[in-house]
Amino acid sequence: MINAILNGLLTLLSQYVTVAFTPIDLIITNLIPDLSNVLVIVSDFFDILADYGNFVLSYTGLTQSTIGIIVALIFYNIYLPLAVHGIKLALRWYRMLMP
Amino acid sequence: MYNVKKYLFLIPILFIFFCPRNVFARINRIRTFNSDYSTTWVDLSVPEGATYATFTGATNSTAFIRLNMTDNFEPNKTYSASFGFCIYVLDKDFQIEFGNLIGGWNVGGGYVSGTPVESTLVDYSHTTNASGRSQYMRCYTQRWQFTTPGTTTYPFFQIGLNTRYQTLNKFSWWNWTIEKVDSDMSDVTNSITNNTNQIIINNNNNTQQIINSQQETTDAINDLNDSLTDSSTDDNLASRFINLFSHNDHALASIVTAPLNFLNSLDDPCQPITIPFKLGGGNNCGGLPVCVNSTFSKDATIQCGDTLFWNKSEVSVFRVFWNVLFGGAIIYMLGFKLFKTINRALDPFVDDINGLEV
Repeated sequence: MINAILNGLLTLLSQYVTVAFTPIDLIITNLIPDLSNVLVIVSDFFDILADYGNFVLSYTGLTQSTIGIIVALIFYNIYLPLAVHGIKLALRWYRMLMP
Repeated sequence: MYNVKKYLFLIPILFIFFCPRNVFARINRIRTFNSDYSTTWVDLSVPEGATYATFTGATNSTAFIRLNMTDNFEPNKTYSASFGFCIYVLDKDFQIEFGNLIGGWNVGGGYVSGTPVESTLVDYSHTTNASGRSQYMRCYTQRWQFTTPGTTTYPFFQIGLNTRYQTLNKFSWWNWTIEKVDSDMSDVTNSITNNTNQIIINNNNNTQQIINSQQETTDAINDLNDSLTDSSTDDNLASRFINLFSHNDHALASIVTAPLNFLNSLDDPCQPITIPFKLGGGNNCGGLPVCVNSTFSKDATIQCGDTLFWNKSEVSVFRVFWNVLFGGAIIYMLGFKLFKTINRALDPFVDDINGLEV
């Protein structure tokens, strides 16, 4: 059940990002196509960075387990505030909706 | 419109009074059989609403009067028929024989025969008509009860008359009522049977639904127990979290989620980088008088740091210390940041999201 709650929260957050950015992206794509191309280039640049990131890391001498711990800590630094904030937001809505 | 509504209650009352309850028993044809050792039936059509039929011509010595009904009898049903009739003959008194045939022929040629349950001579007269011939009249009220064969298709009533040497002159009738005696009960029985079967089916379906719901509840409880007693960590949670945001459908969303994608790719195994090298133009010398026809084409591969250095046995011990020192420092900083994040998240007066600052 705890996993289900976490998965549901993650899905909710991802859908929130999708819903929030979809209309903006559509506006940019249709009204400012040049800007859209620039954004695509930037996005591709990040993809290239993602492709060579582990290559650079391999020269730092860090093992896969160490890198995994680092990634997990970064992830929890991102995820924990989102989760707590989501729970607080849900509780706030619940209190507002309660008669 | 309002005034019309006030009289709507008259509709069922009118229906009660004008409902053609006796339609089933309406006589639409009378057949007479000349008993002069002939096999010819004489048909006499009866218009709707008629209450009598007169006979002329070769109807002398008629032995039978067959009354055809407008509607078929249902098979295997018990009917109760009540009616009154008068028979007029000329020249000589006659005897009526009841109990020849009543009911109807079926496909196989069977018929229902019997005698009336009740038969009452209600009127009798002997008069002289305008032409001076004697006219005898006998009127009866009768009630019949019979059960139709399995495949009755030809409904009729037949009255036998001993009218030899007399002339059938007229046949009149009134109050024809034919009702199914056991139809209601059989219908009710069938209805009860059908309803009972439907109730059993519904109960079975409801029981199955209850069983399914119970099974779902049991499965949910088992899942909850497994979840609560599962002490293993979810190693895939980070990857699944990041993968949820790894969509490149739109450029802006891709940029926003790029750090997450970059983070997600860090713990992937290193892949060597391949750079294609190609020197020279082949046979294309550009028209130069001295042309060096040389072509160098080879892919340059840059191996990962693990392959080149860190996986060698000579540096394995150093790598451990290096991971403790360098990696430990990073982990310590991130852990310290996580500690502050937790403290901040637990603060009931802080609702902002600072996790995206990473």
